[in-house]
Amino acid sequence: MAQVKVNPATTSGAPKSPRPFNRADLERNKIILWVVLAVIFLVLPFIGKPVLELFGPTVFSSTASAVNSTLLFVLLALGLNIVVGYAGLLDLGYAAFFAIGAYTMGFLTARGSPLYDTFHTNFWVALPISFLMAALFGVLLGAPTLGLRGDYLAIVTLGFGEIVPITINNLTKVTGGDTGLSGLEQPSFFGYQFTASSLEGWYLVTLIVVFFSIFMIRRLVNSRIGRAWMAMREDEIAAAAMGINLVRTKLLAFGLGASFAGFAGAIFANSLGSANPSQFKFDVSVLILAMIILGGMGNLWGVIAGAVALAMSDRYIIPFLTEQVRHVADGIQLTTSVVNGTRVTEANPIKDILTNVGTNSRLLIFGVILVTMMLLRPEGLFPNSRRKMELRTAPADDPQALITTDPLTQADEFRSINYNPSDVTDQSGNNDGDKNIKA
Amino acid sequence: MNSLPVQVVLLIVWLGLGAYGTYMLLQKGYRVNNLKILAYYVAPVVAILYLIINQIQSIDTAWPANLPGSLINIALGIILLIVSPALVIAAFLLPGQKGLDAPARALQRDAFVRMRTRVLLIGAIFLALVLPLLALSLFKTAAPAELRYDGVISVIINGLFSGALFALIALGYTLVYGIVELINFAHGDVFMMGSLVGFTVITILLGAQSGRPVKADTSIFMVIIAIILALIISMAFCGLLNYLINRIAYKRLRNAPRLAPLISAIGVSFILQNIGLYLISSAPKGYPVLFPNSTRVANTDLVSDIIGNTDSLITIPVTGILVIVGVGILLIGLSYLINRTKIGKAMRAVAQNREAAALMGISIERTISFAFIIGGALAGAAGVIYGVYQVQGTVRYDLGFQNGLFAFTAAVLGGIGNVNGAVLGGLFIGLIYSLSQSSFFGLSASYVDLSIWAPVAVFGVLVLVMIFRPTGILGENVQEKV
Repeated sequence: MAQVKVNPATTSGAPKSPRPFNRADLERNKIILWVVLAVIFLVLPFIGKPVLELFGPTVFSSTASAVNSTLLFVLLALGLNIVVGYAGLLDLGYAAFFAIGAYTMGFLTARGSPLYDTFHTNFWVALPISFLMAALFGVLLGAPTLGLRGDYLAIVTLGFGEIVPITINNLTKVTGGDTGLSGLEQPSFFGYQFTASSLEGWYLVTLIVVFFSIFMIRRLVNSRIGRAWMAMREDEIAAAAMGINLVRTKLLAFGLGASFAGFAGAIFANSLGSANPSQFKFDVSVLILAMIILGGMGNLWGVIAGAVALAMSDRYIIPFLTEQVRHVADGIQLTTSVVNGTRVTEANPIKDILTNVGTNSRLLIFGVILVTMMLLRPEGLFPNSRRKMELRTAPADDPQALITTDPLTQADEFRSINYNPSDVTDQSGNNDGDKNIKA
Repeated sequence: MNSLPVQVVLLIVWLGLGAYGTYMLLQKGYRVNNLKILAYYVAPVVAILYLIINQIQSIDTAWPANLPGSLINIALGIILLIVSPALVIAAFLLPGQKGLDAPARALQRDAFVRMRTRVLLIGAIFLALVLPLLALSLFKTAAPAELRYDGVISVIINGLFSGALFALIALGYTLVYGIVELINFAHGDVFMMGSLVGFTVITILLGAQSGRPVKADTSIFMVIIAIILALIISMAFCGLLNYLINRIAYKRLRNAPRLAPLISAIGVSFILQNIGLYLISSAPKGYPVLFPNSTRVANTDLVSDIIGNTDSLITIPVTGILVIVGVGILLIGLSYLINRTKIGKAMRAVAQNREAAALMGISIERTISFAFIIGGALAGAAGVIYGVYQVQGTVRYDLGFQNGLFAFTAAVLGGIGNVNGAVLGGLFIGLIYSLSQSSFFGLSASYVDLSIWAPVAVFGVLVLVMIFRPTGILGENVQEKV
């Protein structure tokens, strides 16, 4: 009766004396993996350039610009993931911070900017300033909206996201209106002069920022702040009761999330050499949101995967598909007849519709992604286990939902807790405990 | 007759509002409300600013240019003078409390405080919007046309027309939110589809071209039949569309976290926008001009009739009548539906307490579907009326985005979930939009084009209302359930 049940897997399948769980080994392996990854990514353009140029003269430049914009989207998705994924604050106006970063960079470095004569700096000085500006605006937006519920917050951020590009567009004397700022002075780095066509250089700059961001986010998520974000996301009131300062935690999430967009915006503007308000509309916010939803909110690697997948398909797959549709549309022959001596071309609505489908279907695809993901797999393709539970969870009064909430099996975010894995298997193999909770 | 005393009394009234606000602030135990403070303080500040600007401007204006006009101005000023103290007095009047026991007195007091808050809010917003402009127009008879009283009045009338349309769209948001607590982000795009359907019906029936006057031999009778048919078809189509959206995109997410259906709604909005884009391509089209012979109601300006001034600027487009009649009938019908029918009762019950309603044998899903159908039908009607009223650039694939957000702002301003609030908010947003589009705030049209700032003004209102009074003007304070 008092015999302790032992999970059969630990007795038969596993070796008799398993090698003890060794953190030092794991850490070393991880560091090696990171170094290898970093080296691969760093040398990629220098290997890739000669290889790709074998296929044609423009293949490298088009691929490299696609990769660069993908990296920027990864950066944006990582930032939005802090706000939406970790802290659970739905931000529909994220492109506004992107715009603020880009325009701060523009003001500080563009030849046409009103600040040029009095205060003009180079890229390296402007980069941290634009990131600080974006963070400042993030906090400024966050501060008055602290008390708002989820969907109200979403609408306020959406309003802010609309106000910023319209304001930029309207302040013609300051921002150049809808033509935007141009002629941003591009940086030089120990003699290497960046230009709009120095794609390797921009790749490396963005890559370093992305690597740094990943490092920072991983550290943050496993720190007190990260856990406070997640606690707040799951239940604000309970989190506040546990002593989490909601004001500070929310503002940090807003500020940090916005600062990522500030970085991305600054690099984006300077690498293009220009900035204009039509680049920061609502569809950009939704595109980034679609990225993190597709990949899996709250999961770092999922978000990166989602960003890469959508940015790349935006660049390659969607143009390919729409081109096919356009071909079909072009293939439809219009019948012309001569009526009263004038040539009359018969209207063909199907051809018109197909042509329209062929010219603009980006947003439709993002819309379909948002709806189908929400209906079928709200936790994303590569879910964060904790987030998955929340999004999949039955109403809170369902006892089954509470039982499956075993924090120790959600090892993803609890890696830093030093636990013995065999304890976990023992516990989940032991059904008595579960029965007790049910009763 | 110099209108300086009018000016002074106006100023005193405004300052009185400010003093009343201070008094309320200083009173201990009175719950201070941010928007109230804003209303009390912004009003006098705006008034003082305008008076200062007016002083600067009036140095080189030769007034009074026409005496009858200024007499009318003074009459208007007196009416306003009666209105504003009346609001303040209404706020102070407490109902008699004799013969009531303590709890009943407390209840009555609470009800009164709520009512007073609302009256003051409505009054303050209206006055803050309109009074400074009218005050300005009083002293501006020789100034640019739009700064005269008739210019002000036409801007207000146009604001109320577009406000009525915003109200129709806002009702769809508020009905759905009241019942399922979901911001139906795709609602604006349903409105766009309604406009598109109406456009198709009207052009086919009348054989007219986009943006052109109808054929000369088309009788008024035919035009009216076409409009009614377009309204019916568009309402049916949009009701069905909204029903399907609910069925496909939201129904499965009823128990999911709040953000899931919102994200799904954004997706639906994008899909609808693109379908609209496929059907009409990206170049904007417009409804045919249905009443080419009489674009205005002839001689509507009673003021100009009386004083024999023929260059009055008050213009009411004839389609404005369609707006008033159409929106009026729809609102009466909706109010009948909600207050007098069984399904309306069910809707109110579900909005109040879903579980209890289910226990009383009300089918929740059916009621929700019905709310979506009604909201969609109203949006469809709004689409057609908007197209007929506005004509130019109304058949556009992205028509629903901005207008939908404006209407949502209206719903929030009035108190989301509250049907009367949606109408009130719609009228206010229409006024704000129309006023910020006009050149009052720039004082001269040539100085700066202000119409580009109108969206910023409305979104600014949205953000401010959300931050300072998320329950809106008529909304109740609802505690968030834990």
